[in-house]
Amino acid sequence: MDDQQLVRHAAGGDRMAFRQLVLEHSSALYRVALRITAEESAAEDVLQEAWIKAHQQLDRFDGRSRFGTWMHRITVNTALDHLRKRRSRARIESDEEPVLEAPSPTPERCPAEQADLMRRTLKAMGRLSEMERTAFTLRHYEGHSIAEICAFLDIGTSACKQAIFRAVHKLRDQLSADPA
Amino acid sequence: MTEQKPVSDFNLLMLYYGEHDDPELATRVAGDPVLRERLAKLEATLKDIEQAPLPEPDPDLGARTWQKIVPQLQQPSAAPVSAAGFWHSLLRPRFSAAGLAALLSVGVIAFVVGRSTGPTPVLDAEAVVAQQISDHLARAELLFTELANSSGDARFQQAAAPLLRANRLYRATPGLEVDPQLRQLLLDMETLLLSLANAAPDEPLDEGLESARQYVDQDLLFRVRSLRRSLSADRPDPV
Repeated sequence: MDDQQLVRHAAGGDRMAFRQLVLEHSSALYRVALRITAEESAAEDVLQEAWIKAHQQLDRFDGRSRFGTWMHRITVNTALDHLRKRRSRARIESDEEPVLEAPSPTPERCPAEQADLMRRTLKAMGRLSEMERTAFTLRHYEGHSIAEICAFLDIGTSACKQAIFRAVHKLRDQLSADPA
Repeated sequence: MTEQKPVSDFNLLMLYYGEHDDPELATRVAGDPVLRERLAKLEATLKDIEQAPLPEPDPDLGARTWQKIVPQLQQPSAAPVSAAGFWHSLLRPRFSAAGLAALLSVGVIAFVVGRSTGPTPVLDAEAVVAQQISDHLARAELLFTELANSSGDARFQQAAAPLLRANRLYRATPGLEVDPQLRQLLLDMETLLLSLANAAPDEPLDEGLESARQYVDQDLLFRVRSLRRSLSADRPDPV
């Protein structure tokens, strides 16, 4: 059964079909959530919340886009909500930004250079402000346009472009200052 | 000769992303080796960042996510009910119109499925409701346990077909819509029983049924057991 069929069954109350969608798409969606939240436990929370929202809104999925794209958007929105809630809890943004912990590299799947690049990039990403990281992630990894990101983050075009530029500037500085 | 504004890193980044405002910027960069080199360096950095892999999510992420969300999945139209559920309230010594209708239909069902031998006094009928559902869940539990523990070569068609017929009858019981937990369980069971009943008898479990096996093991069996226990615990002792 393809995604469209699974969604139709799931919207009709078939939990096996919905479970199949969860099993198939969770890894990709988790990566999106992780890039935005920069925290593994937060990414899992976002993922669960996104699936619950999707289940409640399955009848609104009209099939014009791919299910993965639709879920991706729900996950991004949920991750952004998560960041807003985190900010509203008055956590200090700068020095206490969570820093992604890179796992130990698996030698057969991740050569030393690649593992080192991952470690340094994650560390540098974790040091960006939430705004910078989110704007950069949405533009660079997720391919959203500046206009879409402005709408997501509720900011102006100039602020959005500047946030992305600051992110790239900081990443470049930190990656060159933290050589292998 | 007009002096051109210097091209900043910001401009180059926006050019890279296709978000620049200056229509002549691309031409200018293309014609200037220094600018081309700066853009190439920027591209190399961004490519490095892009290629840096994320920590690989563990293979159980999907199953774990499912386990976490499944208690929170509700049908959007489900009416709010107390945690005790409809069938539990039906066992209390008072009757609503829906309860009475349900009891009457359970009498019919009991007759149809051959588990009742004749007309039932009203007080016994209370127990019939719980007993019939509980028995049905017990039979389903046996089949699902066998399925969850099978290595893929067992045949389930013969056992699933009568359970499917009974399940359809129980699901059609009037009044069931006010107990979303039981209604959803019977609906989920029906989907699975339908797959099992329609499986080719001479073929081993295919990919779809292997997925069903995992579903039973990780979700359905637990729900069948807990609801059956809950119904048994609430059933009044026989006089």
